[in-house]
Amino acid sequence: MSFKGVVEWPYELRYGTVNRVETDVLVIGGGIAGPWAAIEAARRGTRVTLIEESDNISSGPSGCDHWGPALDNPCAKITPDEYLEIVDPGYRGYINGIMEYINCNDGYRALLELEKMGGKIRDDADEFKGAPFRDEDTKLLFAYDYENRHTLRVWGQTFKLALYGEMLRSDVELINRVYATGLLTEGGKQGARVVGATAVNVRTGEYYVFKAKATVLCTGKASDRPWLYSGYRINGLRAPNLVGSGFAMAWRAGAELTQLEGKRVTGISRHPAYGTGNPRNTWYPCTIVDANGKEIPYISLDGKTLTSFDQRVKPSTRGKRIIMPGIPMAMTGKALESDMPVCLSDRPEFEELVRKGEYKLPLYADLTSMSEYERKAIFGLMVAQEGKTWIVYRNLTQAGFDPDKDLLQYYGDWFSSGPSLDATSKRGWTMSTGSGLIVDWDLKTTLDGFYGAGDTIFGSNFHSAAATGGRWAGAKAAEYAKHASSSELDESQVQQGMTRIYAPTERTEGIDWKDLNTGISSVLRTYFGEYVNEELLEIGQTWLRELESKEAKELVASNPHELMRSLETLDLLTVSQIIIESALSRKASSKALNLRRLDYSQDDPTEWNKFVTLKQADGKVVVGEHPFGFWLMPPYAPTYRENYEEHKPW
Amino acid sequence: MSVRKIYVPFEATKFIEFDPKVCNGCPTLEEPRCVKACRMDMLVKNPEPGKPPLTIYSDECCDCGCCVHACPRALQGAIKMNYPIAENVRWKEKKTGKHFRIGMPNPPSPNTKPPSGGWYPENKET
Repeated sequence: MSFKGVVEWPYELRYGTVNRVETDVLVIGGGIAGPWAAIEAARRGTRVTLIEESDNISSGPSGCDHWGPALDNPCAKITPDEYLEIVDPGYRGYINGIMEYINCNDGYRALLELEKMGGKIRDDADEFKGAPFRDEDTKLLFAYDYENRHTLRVWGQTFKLALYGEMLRSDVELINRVYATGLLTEGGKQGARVVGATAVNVRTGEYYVFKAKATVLCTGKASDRPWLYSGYRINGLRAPNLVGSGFAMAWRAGAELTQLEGKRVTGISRHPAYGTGNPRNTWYPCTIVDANGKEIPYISLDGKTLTSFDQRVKPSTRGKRIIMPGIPMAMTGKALESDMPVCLSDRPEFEELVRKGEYKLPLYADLTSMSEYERKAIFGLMVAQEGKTWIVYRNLTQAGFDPDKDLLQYYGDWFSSGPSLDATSKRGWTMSTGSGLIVDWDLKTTLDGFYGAGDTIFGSNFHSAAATGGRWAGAKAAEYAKHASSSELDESQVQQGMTRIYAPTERTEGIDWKDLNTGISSVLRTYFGEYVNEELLEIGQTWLRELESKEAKELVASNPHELMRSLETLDLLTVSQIIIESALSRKASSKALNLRRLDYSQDDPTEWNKFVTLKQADGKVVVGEHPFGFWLMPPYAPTYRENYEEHKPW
Repeated sequence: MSVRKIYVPFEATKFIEFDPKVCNGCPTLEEPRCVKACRMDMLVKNPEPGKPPLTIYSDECCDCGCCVHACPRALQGAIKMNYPIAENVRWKEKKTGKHFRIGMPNPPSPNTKPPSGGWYPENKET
């Protein structure tokens, strides 16, 4: 069935048509945080408009196989304060304590709301009756740590549709397929109150001007497009339409950002995300075997070889510990202070054992040797019903894979601190999970009327944090909107935005977005790769400035779809410039941020253990800082509990 | 203002594969379900009624599978999402040591076991 041709652009073309929308709360981005913010703000009686580049029925990068830590769940054996004590050292201070604490306290409450909206959160069909990770009274299933029960296994595939339905029921005005292009500020001034935004429809090309009393930014972090775009297909953990456009908009508006100098090692290997066997996150605690079927043991934090399956899912008794994957690892590249057993295949010493012939490559995930409960929980639930990996289950089973009798190959990847089993698995970088907007206990940014949630705010990561953060920010934005006056828009700012965005549609010859994106990626890889110094960064900065003044002005878009990708790429260019500015502003190497400066070789010297912040004022870059744990210092109360109680919107 | 007519290339690709015998292009809907669900907006409604959507910008496909999940006839083969060759991962039958991969010649018969909670908890053709 091979055919090709041309088809008339199926949508009406309306470049330059202006739609004006007035609302109380404008939510930008319809992934996970956005819908939660919109639903909560609508519940509080405000008019809510949510805009999304894609369509809310499926938008956003996040699936959900595990939800938590939800320490308000009836089975949890640790408290939010105990959890913060365990996790904070793992992040070496680079944590967002506000968001962690909100998530710990509100996680289960939010999950119950999701259940009312139609999400599946418990095993009501008794498929897992008698499983060691099931609570027989509530029928809740738990992941990772069967003892402390802080995180739940859930059917994330049902969540987006549940949120979508709830938004329709709550009269949230949903505007799909529009790309937000800029924030509008009072008097058009950088650093002033945010009073709306502009956007463009990615099918018709028409322009939108939103006037809002409060705005919640939920656009997330960039996908692999900053460092890894090569002109071919883009896949990875985050959706490829994500470029950090919110960071670019917030930057132009004058909001404060932090940790964009942090980056995370990732791979350029092309395997379906979570679709290969492995011993982590979704697949934890799956048994891994070598080519001869020899089991590769899990190793405890203390370096002890674990001999029973039980030890993988129950913390050692020494001290108050939990099994929680991904937490410290997300920032440091290694599992450190959480009591997460790591499969020997993922440890540095594994390389030597392979060389000596003790283990034979390739490696496989052996679900067959696990209990039926585990096999079904890992593959039949966490992979199959996560949401974004549903297709992995579908395609693998369609092709004949059967976890009851087959071993699925483990290719090794960037999560692992063991050897690269695939030569490209650790040859690239992506935006650190720590990067984002500085927020306070209201999840308000440094600009009035402007809130953030999900991946958009610093140090916020994972589905449940996006949900609980979105819910909190939506409530706060609604409270603000109820008392705030409406402010007139600065028409020259509206007009300038329009001129900027339509430029690629007015050219008939020039370059396409892929050429520019590939160019940006090449600059980042060369001048902000594994090792950097002042000179490299400055050359990178010069390069990006030249791309901005020359090639960016040659972009051609022949329809609204190409215009969307072009505008994404222009935002990506801005984000890349903030990344390099941020790296230049931290005159130190940092293990936690994966920043290796050859001119400041000492890792994490005491005087640099802080958040370095950047913003623009009058078009100039202003560098500032916040101490670690600034959320427990004046003007805030000294404890998490006091701040939570004082600020909680319920 | 005169209405400017523009055209866009489409191409049948292996990445998103429609079976025109099963897919009817969701004739009662303003927009076919897979077109609505596509996060990269790379599918468009077929101008010919009753025919499968057309694929534009197929190299933007990010393998999310939202289009397949949105389709009430996916299990009957109306739409398939195929990986690029490099993503066709491998496995081995434990008992026999025989090797398999996605997309292999003479593939084994599909494993029809539904996931926990069933295939389509909420997605019905109405």
